[in-house]
Amino acid sequence: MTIRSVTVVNVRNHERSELECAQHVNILSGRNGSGKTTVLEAMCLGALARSFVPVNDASLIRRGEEAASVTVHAQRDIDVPYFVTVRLREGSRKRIESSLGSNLTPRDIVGELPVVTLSPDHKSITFGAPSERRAFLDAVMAQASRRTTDLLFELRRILKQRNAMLDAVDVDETQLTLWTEAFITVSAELASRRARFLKTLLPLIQQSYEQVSGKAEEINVVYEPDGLENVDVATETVESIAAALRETASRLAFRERQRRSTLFGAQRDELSLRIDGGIVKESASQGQHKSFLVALKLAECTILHDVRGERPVVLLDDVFSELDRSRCERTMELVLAMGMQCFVTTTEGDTIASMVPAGTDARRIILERGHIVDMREAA
Amino acid sequence: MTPSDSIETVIEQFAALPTIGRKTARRLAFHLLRQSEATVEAFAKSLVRMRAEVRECDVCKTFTDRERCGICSSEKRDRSIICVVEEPGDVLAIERTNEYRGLYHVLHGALNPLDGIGPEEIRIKDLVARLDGSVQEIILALNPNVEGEVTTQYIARLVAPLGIRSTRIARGVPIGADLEFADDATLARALEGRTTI
Repeated sequence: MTIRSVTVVNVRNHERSELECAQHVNILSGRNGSGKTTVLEAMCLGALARSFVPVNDASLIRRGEEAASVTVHAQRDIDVPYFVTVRLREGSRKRIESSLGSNLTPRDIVGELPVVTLSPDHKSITFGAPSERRAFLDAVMAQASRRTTDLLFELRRILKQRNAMLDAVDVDETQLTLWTEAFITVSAELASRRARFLKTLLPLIQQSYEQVSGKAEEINVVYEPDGLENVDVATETVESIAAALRETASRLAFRERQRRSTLFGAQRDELSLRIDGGIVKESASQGQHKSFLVALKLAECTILHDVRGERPVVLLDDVFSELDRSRCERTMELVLAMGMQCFVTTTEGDTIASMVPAGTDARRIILERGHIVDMREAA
Repeated sequence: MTPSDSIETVIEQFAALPTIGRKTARRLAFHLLRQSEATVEAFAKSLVRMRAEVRECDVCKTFTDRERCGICSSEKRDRSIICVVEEPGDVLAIERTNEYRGLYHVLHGALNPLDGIGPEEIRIKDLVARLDGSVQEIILALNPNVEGEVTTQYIARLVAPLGIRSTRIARGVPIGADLEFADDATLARALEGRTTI
Protein backbone atom coordinates (compact mmCIF):
# COMPACT_ATOMS: atom_id res chain seq x y z
CA MET A 1 0.00 0.00 0.00
CA THR A 2 1.19 3.48 -0.75
CA ILE A 3 -0.51 6.52 0.73
CA ARG A 4 -0.92 9.20 -1.94
CA SER A 5 -2.50 11.97 0.08
CA VAL A 6 -3.92 12.70 3.50
CA THR A 7 -6.45 15.40 4.34
CA VAL A 8 -6.75 16.29 8.00
CA VAL A 9 -9.62 18.52 9.12
CA ASN A 10 -9.97 19.76 12.71
CA VAL A 11 -7.82 17.06 14.23
CA ARG A 12 -5.94 18.33 17.32
CA ASN A 13 -4.21 21.58 16.26
CA HIS A 14 -4.72 21.07 12.51
CA GLU A 15 -7.49 23.17 11.03
CA ARG A 16 -7.11 21.85 7.50
CA SER A 17 -3.94 20.24 6.23
CA GLU A 18 -3.46 18.48 2.94
CA LEU A 19 -0.43 16.35 2.47
CA GLU A 20 0.81 14.94 -0.82
CA CYS A 21 3.07 12.00 -0.08
CA ALA A 22 6.27 10.69 -1.62
CA GLN A 23 6.46 7.06 -2.68
CA HIS A 24 9.18 6.02 -0.22
CA VAL A 25 10.17 8.32 2.61
CA ASN A 26 8.23 11.23 4.08
CA ILE A 27 9.99 13.24 6.74
CA LEU A 28 7.70 15.37 8.88
CA SER A 29 9.70 17.88 10.81
CA GLY A 30 9.00 20.88 12.98
CA ARG A 31 9.24 21.94 16.60
CA ASN A 32 7.44 20.30 19.48
CA GLY A 33 3.70 20.90 19.23
CA SER A 34 3.78 21.67 15.49
CA GLY A 35 1.41 18.78 14.74
CA LYS A 36 3.79 16.18 13.26
CA THR A 37 2.48 13.25 15.26
CA THR A 38 -1.09 14.33 14.53
CA VAL A 39 -0.53 13.59 10.84
CA LEU A 40 0.57 10.05 11.73
CA GLU A 41 -2.40 9.72 14.11
CA ALA A 42 -4.67 10.77 11.25
CA MET A 43 -3.26 8.01 9.03
CA CYS A 44 -3.73 5.52 11.83
CA LEU A 45 -7.31 6.72 12.21
CA GLY A 46 -7.86 5.97 8.53
CA ALA A 47 -6.29 2.53 8.92
CA LEU A 48 -7.65 1.28 12.24
CA ALA A 49 -10.35 3.85 13.08
CA ARG A 50 -8.34 4.87 16.15
CA SER A 51 -5.10 6.60 16.97
CA PHE A 52 -1.99 4.69 18.05
CA VAL A 53 -1.91 6.96 21.08
CA PRO A 54 -4.39 5.62 23.65
CA VAL A 55 -6.89 8.52 23.80
CA ASN A 56 -10.64 8.76 23.36
CA ASP A 57 -11.99 10.07 20.08
CA ALA A 58 -13.32 13.32 21.54
CA SER A 59 -9.85 14.50 22.48
CA LEU A 60 -8.74 14.22 18.84
CA ILE A 61 -11.23 16.89 17.81
CA ARG A 62 -9.75 20.40 17.58
CA ARG A 63 -10.71 22.57 20.52
CA GLY A 64 -13.83 24.62 19.87
CA GLU A 65 -14.95 22.41 16.95
CA GLU A 66 -17.76 19.84 16.91
CA ALA A 67 -16.42 17.48 14.29
CA ALA A 68 -13.21 16.28 12.72
CA SER A 69 -12.39 14.19 9.68
CA VAL A 70 -9.55 12.38 8.00
CA THR A 71 -9.40 11.23 4.39
CA VAL A 72 -6.65 9.01 3.10
CA HIS A 73 -6.18 8.25 -0.59
CA ALA A 74 -3.91 5.32 -1.26
CA GLN A 75 -2.84 2.90 -3.94
CA ARG A 76 -2.94 -0.85 -3.33
CA ASP A 77 0.06 -2.95 -4.38
CA ILE A 78 -2.01 -4.32 -7.25
CA ASP A 79 -2.34 -0.73 -8.49
CA VAL A 80 -5.97 -0.19 -7.49
CA PRO A 81 -6.92 3.02 -5.71
CA TYR A 82 -8.31 2.85 -2.18
CA PHE A 83 -9.75 5.64 -0.08
CA VAL A 84 -11.12 5.93 3.43
CA THR A 85 -12.80 8.77 5.30
CA VAL A 86 -13.35 8.70 9.05
CA ARG A 87 -15.50 11.42 10.61
CA LEU A 88 -15.57 12.06 14.33
CA ARG A 89 -18.31 14.01 16.05
CA GLU A 90 -18.58 14.59 19.74
CA GLY A 91 -21.24 12.45 21.35
CA SER A 92 -22.01 10.32 18.31
CA ARG A 93 -20.40 7.27 16.78
CA LYS A 94 -17.76 7.64 14.11
CA ARG A 95 -18.81 7.56 10.49
CA ILE A 96 -16.65 5.56 8.17
CA GLU A 97 -16.76 5.50 4.43
CA SER A 98 -14.27 3.78 2.16
CA SER A 99 -13.84 2.16 -1.24
CA LEU A 100 -15.67 -0.79 0.35
CA GLY A 101 -18.86 1.21 0.96
CA SER A 102 -20.41 3.67 3.37
CA ASN A 103 -21.73 3.32 6.90
CA LEU A 104 -18.91 0.98 7.88
CA THR A 105 -17.79 -0.09 11.34
CA PRO A 106 -14.14 -0.09 12.50
CA ARG A 107 -14.23 -3.87 12.13
CA ASP A 108 -14.88 -3.50 8.40
CA ILE A 109 -11.80 -1.43 7.66
CA VAL A 110 -9.18 -2.91 10.00
CA GLY A 111 -6.57 -4.59 7.80
CA GLU A 112 -7.60 -2.86 4.56
CA LEU A 113 -4.90 -0.23 4.90
CA PRO A 114 -2.26 -2.12 6.88
CA VAL A 115 -0.02 0.09 9.03
CA VAL A 116 2.80 -0.61 11.43
CA THR A 117 3.63 2.13 13.94
CA LEU A 118 6.60 2.66 16.19
CA SER A 119 6.11 5.42 18.72
CA PRO A 120 7.69 6.28 22.09
CA ASP A 121 4.66 4.65 23.77
CA HIS A 122 5.72 1.29 22.35
CA LYS A 123 8.71 1.18 24.65
CA SER A 124 6.31 -0.48 27.06
CA ILE A 125 6.20 -3.60 24.87
CA THR A 126 9.63 -4.67 26.08
CA PHE A 127 9.67 -2.72 29.38
CA GLY A 128 6.08 -2.85 30.53
CA ALA A 129 3.44 -5.22 31.88
CA PRO A 130 2.31 -8.46 30.16
CA SER A 131 -0.81 -6.66 28.92
CA GLU A 132 1.40 -4.52 26.64
CA ARG A 133 2.94 -7.55 24.94
CA ARG A 134 -0.45 -9.24 24.66
CA ALA A 135 -1.85 -6.09 23.09
CA PHE A 136 1.02 -6.09 20.57
CA LEU A 137 0.36 -9.69 19.51
CA ASP A 138 -3.42 -9.21 19.45
CA ALA A 139 -3.15 -6.05 17.35
CA VAL A 140 -1.00 -7.81 14.74
CA MET A 141 -3.34 -10.82 14.70
CA ALA A 142 -6.40 -8.59 14.41
CA GLN A 143 -4.98 -6.90 11.31
CA ALA A 144 -4.25 -10.35 9.89
CA SER A 145 -7.53 -12.12 10.68
CA ARG A 146 -11.00 -10.92 11.49
CA ARG A 147 -11.87 -14.02 13.48
CA THR A 148 -9.33 -12.87 16.09
CA THR A 149 -11.02 -9.47 16.32
CA ASP A 150 -14.33 -11.22 17.01
CA LEU A 151 -12.79 -13.56 19.58
CA LEU A 152 -11.16 -10.68 21.47
CA PHE A 153 -14.46 -8.82 21.56
CA GLU A 154 -16.30 -11.91 22.81
CA LEU A 155 -13.65 -12.60 25.44
CA ARG A 156 -14.01 -9.09 26.89
CA ARG A 157 -17.78 -9.33 26.91
CA ILE A 158 -17.98 -12.79 28.50
CA LEU A 159 -15.32 -11.87 31.05
CA LYS A 160 -17.37 -8.86 32.17
CA GLN A 161 -20.51 -11.00 32.43
CA ARG A 162 -18.72 -13.72 34.34
CA ASN A 163 -17.19 -11.21 36.75
CA ALA A 164 -20.65 -9.72 37.30
CA MET A 165 -21.89 -13.24 38.14
CA LEU A 166 -19.06 -13.83 40.60
CA ASP A 167 -19.70 -10.47 42.20
CA ALA A 168 -23.42 -11.14 42.75
CA VAL A 169 -24.73 -11.63 46.29
CA ASP A 170 -26.39 -14.97 45.48
CA VAL A 171 -24.43 -16.81 42.84
CA ASP A 172 -26.68 -18.84 40.54
CA GLU A 173 -24.66 -22.04 40.08
CA THR A 174 -26.22 -23.18 36.81
CA GLN A 175 -25.74 -19.80 35.22
CA LEU A 176 -22.17 -19.46 36.46
CA THR A 177 -21.31 -22.87 34.96
CA LEU A 178 -22.62 -21.70 31.60
CA TRP A 179 -20.68 -18.43 31.63
CA THR A 180 -17.58 -20.37 32.67
CA GLU A 181 -18.04 -22.77 29.75
CA ALA A 182 -18.54 -19.91 27.28
CA PHE A 183 -15.44 -18.20 28.69
CA ILE A 184 -13.37 -21.38 28.39
CA THR A 185 -14.43 -21.98 24.79
CA VAL A 186 -13.30 -18.51 23.69
CA SER A 187 -10.13 -18.57 25.83
CA ALA A 188 -9.09 -21.93 24.39
CA GLU A 189 -9.54 -20.87 20.79
CA LEU A 190 -7.67 -17.63 21.41
CA ALA A 191 -4.79 -19.47 23.11
CA SER A 192 -4.53 -21.88 20.21
CA ARG A 193 -4.55 -19.05 17.67
CA ARG A 194 -1.99 -16.98 19.57
CA ALA A 195 0.35 -19.97 19.83
CA ARG A 196 0.07 -20.90 16.16
CA PHE A 197 0.48 -17.29 15.06
CA LEU A 198 3.58 -16.85 17.19
CA LYS A 199 5.09 -19.95 15.58
CA THR A 200 5.03 -18.13 12.25
CA LEU A 201 6.07 -14.80 13.74
CA LEU A 202 9.06 -15.98 15.80
CA PRO A 203 11.49 -16.82 12.94
CA LEU A 204 10.71 -13.39 11.46
CA ILE A 205 11.49 -11.68 14.77
CA GLN A 206 14.77 -13.58 15.09
CA GLN A 207 15.78 -12.72 11.54
CA SER A 208 14.90 -9.04 11.98
CA TYR A 209 16.82 -8.85 15.25
CA GLU A 210 19.94 -10.11 13.58
CA GLN A 211 19.54 -7.59 10.78
CA VAL A 212 19.01 -4.67 13.14
CA SER A 213 21.66 -5.45 15.74
CA GLY A 214 24.09 -7.29 13.52
CA LYS A 215 24.67 -9.57 16.47
CA ALA A 216 24.19 -13.26 17.06
CA GLU A 217 22.39 -13.06 20.37
CA GLU A 218 19.80 -15.74 20.77
CA ILE A 219 16.33 -14.28 20.70
CA ASN A 220 13.19 -16.06 21.77
CA VAL A 221 9.57 -15.20 22.39
CA VAL A 222 7.74 -17.71 24.56
CA TYR A 223 3.98 -17.78 24.79
CA GLU A 224 2.86 -18.57 28.32
CA PRO A 225 -0.90 -19.06 28.28
CA ASP A 226 -2.48 -18.68 31.70
CA GLY A 227 -3.78 -21.81 33.38
CA LEU A 228 -2.30 -24.08 30.71
CA GLU A 229 1.17 -24.72 32.12
CA ASN A 230 1.38 -28.36 31.04
CA VAL A 231 -0.31 -28.10 27.66
CA ASP A 232 1.40 -27.59 24.31
CA VAL A 233 -1.17 -25.13 22.97
CA ALA A 234 0.50 -24.85 19.55
CA THR A 235 -0.15 -28.51 18.73
CA GLU A 236 -3.10 -29.56 20.90
CA THR A 237 -6.67 -29.25 19.59
CA VAL A 238 -8.90 -26.46 20.85
CA GLU A 239 -11.04 -29.13 22.53
CA SER A 240 -8.17 -30.50 24.61
CA ILE A 241 -7.03 -26.97 25.52
CA ALA A 242 -10.58 -26.33 26.71
CA ALA A 243 -10.48 -29.55 28.75
CA ALA A 244 -7.29 -28.37 30.48
CA LEU A 245 -8.86 -24.97 31.18
CA ARG A 246 -11.86 -26.72 32.73
CA GLU A 247 -9.52 -28.39 35.22
CA THR A 248 -7.93 -25.02 36.01
CA ALA A 249 -11.39 -23.52 36.47
CA SER A 250 -12.46 -26.14 38.97
CA ARG A 251 -9.16 -25.84 40.84
CA LEU A 252 -9.62 -22.07 41.17
CA ALA A 253 -13.38 -22.08 41.76
CA PHE A 254 -13.13 -21.51 45.51
CA ARG A 255 -10.61 -18.67 45.25
CA GLU A 256 -12.59 -17.01 42.49
CA ARG A 257 -15.60 -16.94 44.82
CA GLN A 258 -13.55 -15.34 47.57
CA ARG A 259 -12.01 -12.78 45.24
CA ARG A 260 -15.28 -12.32 43.31
CA SER A 261 -13.40 -12.19 40.05
CA THR A 262 -12.10 -14.39 37.23
CA LEU A 263 -8.60 -15.66 38.00
CA PHE A 264 -7.67 -17.50 34.79
CA GLY A 265 -7.99 -17.20 31.04
CA ALA A 266 -6.63 -15.62 27.90
CA GLN A 267 -6.77 -12.09 29.36
CA ARG A 268 -3.88 -13.11 31.66
CA ASP A 269 -1.55 -14.68 29.08
CA GLU A 270 2.09 -13.62 28.99
CA LEU A 271 4.42 -13.30 26.05
CA SER A 272 7.85 -13.67 27.51
CA LEU A 273 10.67 -11.99 25.57
CA ARG A 274 14.04 -13.70 26.07
CA ILE A 275 17.57 -12.80 25.10
CA ASP A 276 20.31 -15.41 25.50
CA GLY A 277 17.96 -17.27 27.83
CA GLY A 278 17.37 -14.29 30.16
CA ILE A 279 14.17 -12.28 30.39
CA VAL A 280 14.50 -9.05 28.38
CA LYS A 281 12.70 -6.91 30.95
CA GLU A 282 15.21 -7.94 33.63
CA SER A 283 18.49 -8.49 31.86
CA ALA A 284 18.66 -6.67 28.53
CA SER A 285 20.70 -3.52 27.95
CA GLN A 286 19.06 -0.34 26.65
CA GLY A 287 20.38 -1.08 23.17
CA GLN A 288 19.05 -4.63 23.23
CA HIS A 289 15.64 -3.33 24.27
CA LYS A 290 15.63 -1.01 21.27
CA SER A 291 16.78 -3.67 18.82
CA PHE A 292 14.17 -6.09 20.14
CA LEU A 293 11.41 -3.54 19.71
CA VAL A 294 12.45 -2.78 16.13
CA ALA A 295 12.71 -6.53 15.41
CA LEU A 296 9.14 -7.03 16.65
CA LYS A 297 7.92 -4.19 14.44
CA LEU A 298 9.79 -5.37 11.35
CA ALA A 299 8.44 -8.88 11.86
CA GLU A 300 5.00 -7.31 12.08
CA CYS A 301 5.63 -5.69 8.67
CA THR A 302 6.68 -8.97 7.08
CA ILE A 303 3.82 -11.03 8.45
CA LEU A 304 1.21 -8.44 7.49
CA HIS A 305 2.66 -8.43 4.00
CA ASP A 306 2.56 -12.24 3.84
CA VAL A 307 -0.94 -12.58 5.24
CA ARG A 308 -2.71 -9.71 3.50
CA GLY A 309 -0.64 -9.69 0.32
CA GLU A 310 -0.21 -5.95 0.83
CA ARG A 311 2.87 -4.09 2.01
CA PRO A 312 2.05 -2.14 5.16
CA VAL A 313 2.80 1.56 5.54
CA VAL A 314 5.34 2.23 8.30
CA LEU A 315 4.78 5.12 10.70
CA LEU A 316 7.80 6.04 12.81
CA ASP A 317 6.89 8.60 15.45
CA ASP A 318 9.77 10.54 16.97
CA VAL A 319 12.31 7.86 16.08
CA PHE A 320 15.29 9.47 17.76
CA SER A 321 13.67 9.25 21.15
CA GLU A 322 13.69 5.46 20.68
CA LEU A 323 16.59 4.73 18.37
CA ASP A 324 20.15 5.92 18.02
CA ARG A 325 21.47 7.02 14.66
CA SER A 326 22.84 3.66 13.49
CA ARG A 327 19.69 1.70 14.46
CA CYS A 328 17.56 4.34 12.84
CA GLU A 329 19.56 4.15 9.63
CA ARG A 330 19.42 0.36 9.65
CA THR A 331 15.67 0.35 10.24
CA MET A 332 15.01 2.74 7.41
CA GLU A 333 17.24 0.69 5.11
CA LEU A 334 15.32 -2.50 5.95
CA VAL A 335 11.96 -0.81 5.52
CA LEU A 336 12.97 0.55 2.14
CA ALA A 337 14.47 -2.79 1.10
CA MET A 338 11.06 -4.38 1.73
CA GLY A 339 9.61 -1.73 -0.58
CA MET A 340 7.45 -0.15 2.10
CA GLN A 341 6.49 3.49 2.28
CA CYS A 342 7.48 5.17 5.52
CA PHE A 343 6.58 8.32 7.42
CA VAL A 344 9.01 9.68 9.99
CA THR A 345 8.38 12.49 12.46
CA THR A 346 11.38 14.22 13.97
CA THR A 347 12.68 17.51 15.25
CA GLU A 348 15.91 16.78 13.40
CA GLY A 349 14.78 16.73 9.79
CA ASP A 350 18.27 17.29 8.37
CA THR A 351 19.72 14.28 10.15
CA ILE A 352 17.02 11.97 8.82
CA ALA A 353 17.26 13.47 5.34
CA SER A 354 20.98 12.73 5.30
CA MET A 355 20.21 9.04 5.94
CA VAL A 356 17.98 8.64 2.92
CA PRO A 357 19.80 6.65 0.22
CA ALA A 358 20.25 8.37 -3.14
CA GLY A 359 17.60 7.60 -5.73
CA THR A 360 14.83 7.31 -3.15
CA ASP A 361 11.62 9.23 -3.68
CA ALA A 362 11.66 11.29 -0.49
CA ARG A 363 9.89 14.41 0.66
CA ARG A 364 10.37 16.79 3.53
CA ILE A 365 7.29 18.28 5.09
CA ILE A 366 7.79 21.16 7.49
CA LEU A 367 5.06 21.93 10.00
CA GLU A 368 4.40 24.93 12.22
CA ARG A 369 1.56 25.19 14.72
CA GLY A 370 -0.76 22.80 12.91
CA HIS A 371 0.02 24.05 9.39
CA ILE A 372 2.12 22.54 6.64
CA VAL A 373 4.41 25.42 5.72
CA ASP A 374 6.67 23.69 3.23
CA MET A 375 6.81 20.48 1.17
CA ARG A 376 9.87 19.75 -0.93
CA GLU A 377 11.89 16.90 -2.35
CA ALA A 378 14.48 15.72 0.13
CA ALA A 379 16.96 13.98 -2.11
CA MET B 1 -33.77 30.75 22.21
CA THR B 2 -36.38 28.63 20.49
CA PRO B 3 -39.38 30.17 18.68
CA SER B 4 -41.75 27.64 20.24
CA ASP B 5 -41.41 25.63 23.42
CA SER B 6 -44.08 23.15 22.37
CA ILE B 7 -42.28 22.32 19.12
CA GLU B 8 -39.06 21.90 21.05
CA THR B 9 -40.77 19.50 23.49
CA VAL B 10 -42.06 17.34 20.64
CA ILE B 11 -38.59 17.30 19.04
CA GLU B 12 -37.09 16.19 22.34
CA GLN B 13 -39.68 13.42 22.62
CA PHE B 14 -39.01 12.10 19.15
CA ALA B 15 -35.25 12.35 19.58
CA ALA B 16 -35.50 10.18 22.70
CA LEU B 17 -36.75 7.28 20.55
CA PRO B 18 -34.28 4.67 19.30
CA THR B 19 -32.67 5.25 15.87
CA ILE B 20 -34.05 8.81 15.68
CA GLY B 21 -31.56 11.66 15.74
CA ARG B 22 -32.33 15.36 16.25
CA LYS B 23 -32.52 16.08 12.52
CA THR B 24 -35.15 13.40 11.89
CA ALA B 25 -36.98 14.43 15.07
CA ARG B 26 -37.22 18.01 13.75
CA ARG B 27 -38.49 16.78 10.39
CA LEU B 28 -41.16 14.62 12.04
CA ALA B 29 -42.33 17.47 14.26
CA PHE B 30 -42.72 19.88 11.33
CA HIS B 31 -44.43 17.19 9.28
CA LEU B 32 -47.04 16.74 12.01
CA LEU B 33 -47.56 20.52 12.22
CA ARG B 34 -48.58 20.53 8.58
CA GLN B 35 -51.20 17.80 9.09
CA SER B 36 -54.85 18.48 9.98
CA GLU B 37 -55.75 18.61 13.64
CA ALA B 38 -57.88 15.47 13.28
CA THR B 39 -54.99 13.48 11.82
CA VAL B 40 -52.66 14.46 14.62
CA GLU B 41 -55.30 13.71 17.23
CA ALA B 42 -55.88 10.25 15.74
CA PHE B 43 -52.12 9.67 15.78
CA ALA B 44 -51.79 10.72 19.41
CA LYS B 45 -54.82 8.71 20.46
CA SER B 46 -53.53 5.58 18.75
CA LEU B 47 -50.33 5.85 20.77
CA VAL B 48 -52.18 6.30 24.05
CA ARG B 49 -54.54 3.46 23.20
CA MET B 50 -51.70 1.16 22.28
CA ARG B 51 -49.99 1.79 25.61
CA ALA B 52 -53.22 1.35 27.59
CA GLU B 53 -54.59 -1.72 25.85
CA VAL B 54 -51.62 -3.78 24.73
CA ARG B 55 -50.59 -6.40 27.25
CA GLU B 56 -48.65 -9.61 27.38
CA CYS B 57 -50.40 -12.76 26.13
CA ASP B 58 -51.29 -15.00 29.10
CA VAL B 59 -49.63 -17.95 27.41
CA CYS B 60 -46.71 -16.92 25.22
CA LYS B 61 -46.01 -13.44 26.67
CA THR B 62 -45.91 -11.69 23.34
CA PHE B 63 -47.68 -8.31 23.01
CA THR B 64 -51.40 -8.57 22.23
CA ASP B 65 -54.72 -6.78 22.81
CA ARG B 66 -56.45 -9.82 24.23
CA GLU B 67 -55.86 -12.29 27.04
CA ARG B 68 -54.54 -14.73 24.51
CA CYS B 69 -52.82 -13.70 21.31
CA GLY B 70 -54.06 -14.77 17.88
CA ILE B 71 -51.39 -17.44 17.56
CA CYS B 72 -52.02 -19.06 20.94
CA SER B 73 -55.78 -19.13 20.40
CA SER B 74 -55.60 -20.44 16.83
CA GLU B 75 -56.86 -23.97 16.23
CA LYS B 76 -54.52 -24.44 13.32
CA ARG B 77 -51.23 -24.19 15.20
CA ASP B 78 -49.18 -27.23 16.17
CA ARG B 79 -49.23 -27.34 19.98
CA SER B 80 -46.38 -29.79 20.29
CA ILE B 81 -43.67 -27.28 19.32
CA ILE B 82 -42.70 -24.02 21.03
CA CYS B 83 -40.26 -21.58 19.48
CA VAL B 84 -38.48 -19.50 22.13
CA VAL B 85 -37.43 -15.96 21.16
CA GLU B 86 -36.07 -12.90 22.96
CA GLU B 87 -38.44 -10.14 21.81
CA PRO B 88 -42.00 -9.81 20.44
CA GLY B 89 -40.47 -8.44 17.22
CA ASP B 90 -38.78 -11.81 16.69
CA VAL B 91 -42.21 -13.50 16.54
CA LEU B 92 -43.14 -11.25 13.61
CA ALA B 93 -39.85 -12.07 11.89
CA ILE B 94 -40.44 -15.81 12.09
CA GLU B 95 -44.13 -15.47 11.16
CA ARG B 96 -43.12 -13.67 7.96
CA THR B 97 -41.43 -16.87 6.76
CA ASN B 98 -44.82 -18.66 6.68
CA GLU B 99 -42.89 -21.82 7.41
CA TYR B 100 -43.53 -22.29 11.09
CA ARG B 101 -46.84 -23.64 12.37
CA GLY B 102 -46.02 -24.13 16.06
CA LEU B 103 -46.40 -21.83 19.07
CA TYR B 104 -44.06 -19.21 20.52
CA HIS B 105 -42.67 -18.12 23.84
CA VAL B 106 -41.24 -14.63 24.28
CA LEU B 107 -38.61 -14.24 27.02
CA HIS B 108 -38.41 -10.42 26.90
CA GLY B 109 -34.63 -10.46 27.14
CA ALA B 110 -31.68 -12.76 27.67
CA LEU B 111 -29.52 -13.59 30.67
CA ASN B 112 -27.22 -10.63 31.29
CA PRO B 113 -25.52 -10.48 34.70
CA LEU B 114 -23.97 -7.07 33.90
CA ASP B 115 -27.44 -5.53 33.65
CA GLY B 116 -28.68 -7.60 36.59
CA ILE B 117 -30.91 -9.79 34.40
CA GLY B 118 -31.11 -13.33 35.74
CA PRO B 119 -33.59 -16.17 35.08
CA GLU B 120 -36.16 -14.48 37.35
CA GLU B 121 -36.18 -11.32 35.25
CA ILE B 122 -37.07 -13.02 31.96
CA ARG B 123 -40.05 -15.34 31.37
CA ILE B 124 -38.25 -18.64 31.85
CA LYS B 125 -40.52 -19.87 34.67
CA ASP B 126 -43.57 -19.26 32.49
CA LEU B 127 -41.95 -21.33 29.76
CA VAL B 128 -41.29 -24.26 32.07
CA ALA B 129 -44.88 -24.05 33.32
CA ARG B 130 -46.08 -24.53 29.74
CA LEU B 131 -44.14 -27.75 29.28
CA ASP B 132 -46.88 -30.22 30.11
CA GLY B 133 -47.07 -33.58 28.34
CA SER B 134 -48.23 -32.16 25.01
CA VAL B 135 -45.04 -30.28 24.12
CA GLN B 136 -42.47 -32.46 22.38
CA GLU B 137 -39.94 -29.95 21.11
CA ILE B 138 -38.71 -26.46 21.90
CA ILE B 139 -36.80 -24.51 19.28
CA LEU B 140 -34.37 -21.98 20.71
CA ALA B 141 -34.17 -19.02 18.33
CA LEU B 142 -32.25 -16.47 20.41
CA ASN B 143 -29.86 -13.82 19.14
CA PRO B 144 -26.45 -15.14 18.05
CA ASN B 145 -24.39 -13.27 20.66
CA VAL B 146 -22.81 -14.38 23.93
CA GLU B 147 -25.89 -13.57 26.02
CA GLY B 148 -28.22 -15.41 23.62
CA GLU B 149 -25.85 -18.37 23.58
CA VAL B 150 -25.71 -18.69 27.36
CA THR B 151 -29.50 -18.33 27.65
CA THR B 152 -29.92 -21.07 25.03
CA GLN B 153 -27.68 -23.41 27.03
CA TYR B 154 -29.49 -22.48 30.26
CA ILE B 155 -32.90 -23.37 28.88
CA ALA B 156 -31.61 -26.53 27.19
CA ARG B 157 -30.26 -27.75 30.54
CA LEU B 158 -33.49 -26.85 32.28
CA VAL B 159 -35.71 -28.86 29.96
CA ALA B 160 -33.33 -31.82 29.48
CA PRO B 161 -34.70 -33.79 32.49
CA LEU B 162 -38.26 -33.38 31.15
CA GLY B 163 -37.48 -35.55 28.13
CA ILE B 164 -38.39 -32.78 25.69
CA ARG B 165 -36.29 -32.40 22.57
CA SER B 166 -34.58 -29.03 22.43
CA THR B 167 -33.18 -27.70 19.17
CA ARG B 168 -31.60 -24.45 18.01
CA ILE B 169 -31.89 -22.67 14.71
CA ALA B 170 -28.98 -23.17 12.31
CA ARG B 171 -26.36 -20.47 11.81
CA GLY B 172 -25.01 -19.85 8.36
CA VAL B 173 -24.78 -17.89 5.18
CA PRO B 174 -27.84 -15.84 4.14
CA ILE B 175 -29.75 -17.06 1.08
CA GLY B 176 -29.03 -15.05 -2.05
CA ALA B 177 -25.76 -13.67 -0.69
CA ASP B 178 -22.38 -14.30 -2.25
CA LEU B 179 -20.19 -16.60 -0.23
CA GLU B 180 -17.18 -14.31 -0.58
CA PHE B 181 -19.01 -11.48 1.17
CA ALA B 182 -20.11 -13.52 4.18
CA ASP B 183 -18.28 -12.42 7.32
CA ASP B 184 -15.69 -14.79 8.76
CA ALA B 185 -17.55 -15.66 11.95
CA THR B 186 -20.73 -16.62 10.09
CA LEU B 187 -18.81 -18.60 7.50
CA ALA B 188 -16.85 -20.42 10.21
CA ARG B 189 -20.11 -21.38 11.96
CA ALA B 190 -21.64 -22.44 8.66
CA LEU B 191 -18.68 -24.76 8.03
CA GLU B 192 -19.01 -26.13 11.54
CA GLY B 193 -22.69 -26.90 10.99
CA ARG B 194 -22.30 -28.41 7.52
CA THR B 195 -24.68 -31.22 6.53
CA THR B 196 -24.32 -34.40 4.49
CA ILE B 197 -26.06 -34.39 1.11
